Amino acid sequence: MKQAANAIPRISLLWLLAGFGSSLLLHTKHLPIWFLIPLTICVGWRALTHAGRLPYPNKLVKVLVVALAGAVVVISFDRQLSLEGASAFLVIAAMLKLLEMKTQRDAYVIVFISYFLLVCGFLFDQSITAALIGISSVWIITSSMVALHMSTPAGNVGALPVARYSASVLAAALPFMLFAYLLFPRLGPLWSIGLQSKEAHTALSTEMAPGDIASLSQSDKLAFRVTFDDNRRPPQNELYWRALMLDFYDGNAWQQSKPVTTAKWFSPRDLDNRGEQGIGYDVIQEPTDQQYLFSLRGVHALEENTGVTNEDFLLARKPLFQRLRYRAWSDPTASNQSDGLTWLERKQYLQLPSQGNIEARQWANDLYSVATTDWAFAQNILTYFRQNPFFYTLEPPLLKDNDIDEFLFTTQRGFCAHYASAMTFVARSVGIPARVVVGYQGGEWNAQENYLTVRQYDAHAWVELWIPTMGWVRFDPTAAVAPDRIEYGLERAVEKEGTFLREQIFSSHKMRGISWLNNLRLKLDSANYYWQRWVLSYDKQRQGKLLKQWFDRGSYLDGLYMLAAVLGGLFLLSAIVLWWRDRPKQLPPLQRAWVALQNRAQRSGLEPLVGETGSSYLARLGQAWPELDQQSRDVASLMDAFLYGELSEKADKADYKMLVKRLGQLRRSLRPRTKTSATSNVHKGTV
Amino acid sequence: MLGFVLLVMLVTAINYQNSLIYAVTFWLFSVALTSMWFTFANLSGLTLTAGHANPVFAGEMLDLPVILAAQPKRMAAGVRVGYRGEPLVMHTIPANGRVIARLSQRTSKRGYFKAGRLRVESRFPLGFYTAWSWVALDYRVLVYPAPESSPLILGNGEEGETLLGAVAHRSGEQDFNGLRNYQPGDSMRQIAWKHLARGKGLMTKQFDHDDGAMCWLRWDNVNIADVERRLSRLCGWVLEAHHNGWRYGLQLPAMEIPPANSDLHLQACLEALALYGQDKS
Repeated sequence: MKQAANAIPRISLLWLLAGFGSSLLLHTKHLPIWFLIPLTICVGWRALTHAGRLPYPNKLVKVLVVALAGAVVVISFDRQLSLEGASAFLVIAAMLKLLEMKTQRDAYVIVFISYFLLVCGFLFDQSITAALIGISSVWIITSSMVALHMSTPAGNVGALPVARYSASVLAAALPFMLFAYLLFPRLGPLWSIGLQSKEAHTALSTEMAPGDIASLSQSDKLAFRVTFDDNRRPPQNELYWRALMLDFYDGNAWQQSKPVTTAKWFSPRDLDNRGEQGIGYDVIQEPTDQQYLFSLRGVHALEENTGVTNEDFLLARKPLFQRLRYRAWSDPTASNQSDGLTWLERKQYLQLPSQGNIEARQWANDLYSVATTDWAFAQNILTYFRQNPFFYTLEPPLLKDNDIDEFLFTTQRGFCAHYASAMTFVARSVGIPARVVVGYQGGEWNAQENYLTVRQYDAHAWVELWIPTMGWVRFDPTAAVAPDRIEYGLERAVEKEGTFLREQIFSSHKMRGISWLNNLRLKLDSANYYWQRWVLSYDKQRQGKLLKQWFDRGSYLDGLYMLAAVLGGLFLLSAIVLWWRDRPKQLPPLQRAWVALQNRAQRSGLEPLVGETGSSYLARLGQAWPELDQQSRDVASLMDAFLYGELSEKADKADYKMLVKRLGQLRRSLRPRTKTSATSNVHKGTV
Repeated sequence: MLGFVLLVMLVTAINYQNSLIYAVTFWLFSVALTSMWFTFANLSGLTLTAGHANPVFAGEMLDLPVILAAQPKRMAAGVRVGYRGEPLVMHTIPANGRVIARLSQRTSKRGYFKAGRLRVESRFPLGFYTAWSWVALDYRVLVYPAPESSPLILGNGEEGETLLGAVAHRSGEQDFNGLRNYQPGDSMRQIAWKHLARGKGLMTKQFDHDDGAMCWLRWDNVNIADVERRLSRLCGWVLEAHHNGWRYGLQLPAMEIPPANSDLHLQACLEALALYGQDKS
């Protein structure tokens, strides 16, 4: 009997299996395909046990399966500790627990594992779709708990009442959840987590070999989105999003001479140092696994944990394994480093391999000797690009040694990396400090929602030269060759070549010609954008701002107090609702008068009998109080006439009032008597 | 366990700065709090009514049906009821419906049964909380004394023997009168078994005096000092006499039930024995 009480009702087992399955949906992308095998075995075995076809597996089988599954997880995830491997382990453990699930306690273990697996799925995917999957999954898992308590040994309850009930519980929980979500203090990470997804994020790398950026250009993945304060969007050809500076050339690729990991970190005092000019903007950046952030020239950090490097780049304190939202402020007109370069910096920006590319060096010297200023020299290089048959292409020919010579004088076909690399090389060879800057250029403006979307194919590389009296000046050789790239973006620039997103046959970005499809794409994109802006990027900064805006409170302690107040308020409210639901129901006047009369008579011992009619009770009342005999007879006949007689509609109301009045009179004229015994047979108790 | 899981989720959310994990964590936390309300509301408003219980002899299990009635439009799910020491039985009562829970309790003393308090509890909907109440239902059901099968040899009356300690007013001289067709309810003792064995159908023997023997079962004839054992002995005799089809009368101090043989008579005798020396209410 005890065993039966703890057993899992049959119907809820199906719910548990469904809930577990739904929690795996978000893991399908990274779990290897062979996972289907143990999953099918475990779920199938448990279902057959449920159907009575198979016994529970014995200990040996379980140990074997655990060892096997563990080994295969280790092997298939390369013995690397990654988020994927960890979640695969969790899935395996849950599947095995499923096999030996017998009691309610086991069922709860499965329920909690399912919840946790679901939550882990959000580490891989936080899209709107993932959220919808999450909601339905929470619903199913919660339903399995409801089913666990709703079903009785006598009979199972259908799926619909269970689902409906759990939906009402989940809905009732929403208000407090919202408050908790908004008010619970958002802290920074408690400790740095080594466990990260091993899936590489598509992003700029810290090294640029010719062709690197061209391969990035085949991706339509999101890089970041930007909104500008007061909608003051700079012109498209000024949108040079700087991310990294590459200052070391090894004869083949451009690299960072040393990794940049520190910067002048933001402190609130810096806020006043901004100039009058400039624009503020708000960026939501996809994870890059790197520290760099995107900014326009002349940047100022506006947020904690961001900072500005010596070279005018925005940097985050920690690598971005998650999507990050930050604000920054830029003044593109401000001149930087006009106080000159140090000797060390000069050396850094003039570094070149001692050998190779003789032709280019020679050509540079010739060009420099006729130029009046460094600026004029740079312009001459651009003119050279413009006037010679250079092509902007996503499919440049492969270059061997002396690649810059070959590119400048032979192939003359290249992508932005080739042009930037060549120009920097040439400038350095004549003693002008120069560096390659990589980042993104342009982006797609959503005119309805006023935000800019920058995708991987907007990746770009350009050049900055040190011009005395002007400081670092941006030169974009690509613009000289393919002005369309800067004005209209990559798609237009390589239109004739037909190489835009060629590897992605079904990319919606290739369908821009079809206007309704393009509209739909933009709508979806803006939905995603709002999702990221308002839901996903709600963090400490956003919370502080919200508290300040709504309640003029900034500290998270205030948030906690408010949360406690909300909790108390909701408790009070729910208590009131409960009281209102179970409040004593007011009876209609006739019943009330009758009950009052009976109560009074009962106190003198005249107990009502089971199934007794009103008139027979009144007759007994007449016997017990002989002086009231006539009066009670009158009331009885009036009552019978009212309850059972045929009376006209109009007379009804008057009679009703009359009857109530007479019952009251009768009650008041009852004098207490000594008790006579008589009790009813059935007693009621109410919870 | 829930608290631990929520904590792990929260730490995951904080460390990975993941808004959706925050959302689910707070949702579950809120659900855990809210389910307290649902658990209470589920049980509140449930009406328990004592059903009809049949009298038993002391020492037997007494079946105590409890009628569980739900409010209009309000289901009461996963309600478990039971007396202390007995397993709880679970029922789901549909809105506006009623369900009879069959509970039982072991009896020990004769007289009106005191059912004690009944536990009503529910862990519905999520099992995080238990709402419970103790309810005392008044059954007004009699427990008869435990019958003691008398060691005495009981005469069946046909041979004219008398019941020891009882006085037969009339000998059981009964003359066989004839056979008639069997009717349901006829005593097994009167069936003509030989007749049946010959394959001639089920017949009932008829006697001149169908009412059988008559005897008095008297308090004074039991030589046991202990009142309870005395009553038990008398109870055993009453049952035996009834079973044998005799007309029997019961005589207790200050009480006498004249001889008869019927179910009502049996009930009256047993009731008298059960309530001997006790307040009638």
